[in-house]
Amino acid sequence: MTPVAPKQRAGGIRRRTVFGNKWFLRIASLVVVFSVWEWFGRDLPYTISDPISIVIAGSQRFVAQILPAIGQTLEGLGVGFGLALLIGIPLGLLMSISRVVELALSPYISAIYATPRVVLIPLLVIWLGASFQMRVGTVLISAVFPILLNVYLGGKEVDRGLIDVGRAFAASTPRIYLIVLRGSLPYVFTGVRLGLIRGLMGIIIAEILTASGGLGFEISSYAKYFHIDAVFAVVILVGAISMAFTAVITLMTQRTTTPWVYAERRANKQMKAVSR
Amino acid sequence: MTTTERAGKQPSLAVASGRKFVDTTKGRWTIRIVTLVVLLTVWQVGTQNLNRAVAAPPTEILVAFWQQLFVTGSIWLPLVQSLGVLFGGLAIALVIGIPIGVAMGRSKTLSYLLDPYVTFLYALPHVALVPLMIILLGFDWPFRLTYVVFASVWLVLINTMVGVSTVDTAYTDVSIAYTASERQIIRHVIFPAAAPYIVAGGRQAFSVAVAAVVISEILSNLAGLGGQIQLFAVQYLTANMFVSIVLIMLIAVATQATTAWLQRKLTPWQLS
Repeated sequence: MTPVAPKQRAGGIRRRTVFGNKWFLRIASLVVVFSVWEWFGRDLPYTISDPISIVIAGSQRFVAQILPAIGQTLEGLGVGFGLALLIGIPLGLLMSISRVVELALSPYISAIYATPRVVLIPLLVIWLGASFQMRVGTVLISAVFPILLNVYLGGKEVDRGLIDVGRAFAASTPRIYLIVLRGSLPYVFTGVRLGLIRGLMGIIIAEILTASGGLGFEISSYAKYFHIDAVFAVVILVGAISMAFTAVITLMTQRTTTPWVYAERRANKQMKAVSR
Repeated sequence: MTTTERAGKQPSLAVASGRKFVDTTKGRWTIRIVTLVVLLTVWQVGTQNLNRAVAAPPTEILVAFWQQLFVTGSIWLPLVQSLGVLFGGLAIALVIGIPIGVAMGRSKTLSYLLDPYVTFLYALPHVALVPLMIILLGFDWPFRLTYVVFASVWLVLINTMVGVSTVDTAYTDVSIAYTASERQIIRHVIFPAAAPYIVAGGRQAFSVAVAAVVISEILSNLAGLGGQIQLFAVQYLTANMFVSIVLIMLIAVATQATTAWLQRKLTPWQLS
């Protein structure tokens, strides 16, 4: 991108291939940052802690405390997210297909989508108490609106030609719905990804707020006793879970909506193997 | 032509039975108003005989709204606190995010050095860091401001970076050929070309910042509108609670509308 002066270019391609390699740079950067963190953090165990203590704290607590907490969080997330899919996809489809439903509901859906759903968590706590249902409810309200809105918008973007072809071949109404769903799949997956990430966020807020078990509760209770190393361990774990969700859904999206990208990549690999 | 004719003859999918009525202005407004009236009536009637600790009817919420706005005036300070943190945090996020984003977009090396952290911290549900931030920064506005910045800066940064790195190299090559300096390239080529991404990132950051303000308020010391919600929630005063909920909703919707308008004004050629 940037202009490379001839002097530098003469310096040798080899050096650039080593120091310009992205994995070299990434790992070097991580090593430097973690070393600095270790160096300073060792003397500050009650504020920023240090990487080695974090690993130790995390592995010591893993089986007894963190693993059950992961289970609780994923359980609430799974049930709430499942409900969100069950409500969001049919309602979104209905909104994109029926003009009356669309006109009636879209102002509210857009308004609630724009509003941070965390405002409703205190209300859910009043209604359901600090319970499993409350956590499921939090995931549901966090996840259902991105799913619903994306299914609805996607349904409106579906190629009319596809529906017309379906109709020309005398497809039944449920089949037409399936065509709409298939046609809006990229949008559906966007909604699913956003919904899952927001659901994770929602359940962690609920767990921190009500101390009702799960990873959020682990974080807040470790923080309460100044086990900063353990807090970091759980935070990193939460980030890893979130990244794993995103990665899986991105992969699913690509596999189902643009499978030809994969076919091409595989073909390229084979070509390379042959030419070698 | 044929499609519309066929659709007209065979109303099975997108065409509900009363298509013509629905598509007139009058029909649209009829449906909207009927829905609103039905919703409000159901809410009113449904909560009439309910315990006030569970839910309050719309009329009582209106009364509470009036009270908090003009009689006791208790809503103004939290409103100012929330908006102050929101705009302050957003401004800081833009000031930090855009330069780093430009630098990462321009320099491959820098982007490889920093992208492990950016990717991780963007993916992390930032609320997980709240207890830690409270320990480090206390319960008051430094924590709330930092949290808002932390929640929204990644969107600004990543969008800027993507926008800058996808600028057509033909443009930058021409500037290099005409001996433009890096500063000139960034100012006159990169910024206009990447503007749609930067503005879009700022817009996303704005709505995340609204959520972050409320989250930080609910989880910390009961300041701001989020604090009002939590404060009335623990006293089971649902009518008063809804005042802040409705206000936050209005702020969020107004934010969306304003930023959409701004996006059209700033980058009319934007990617849709």
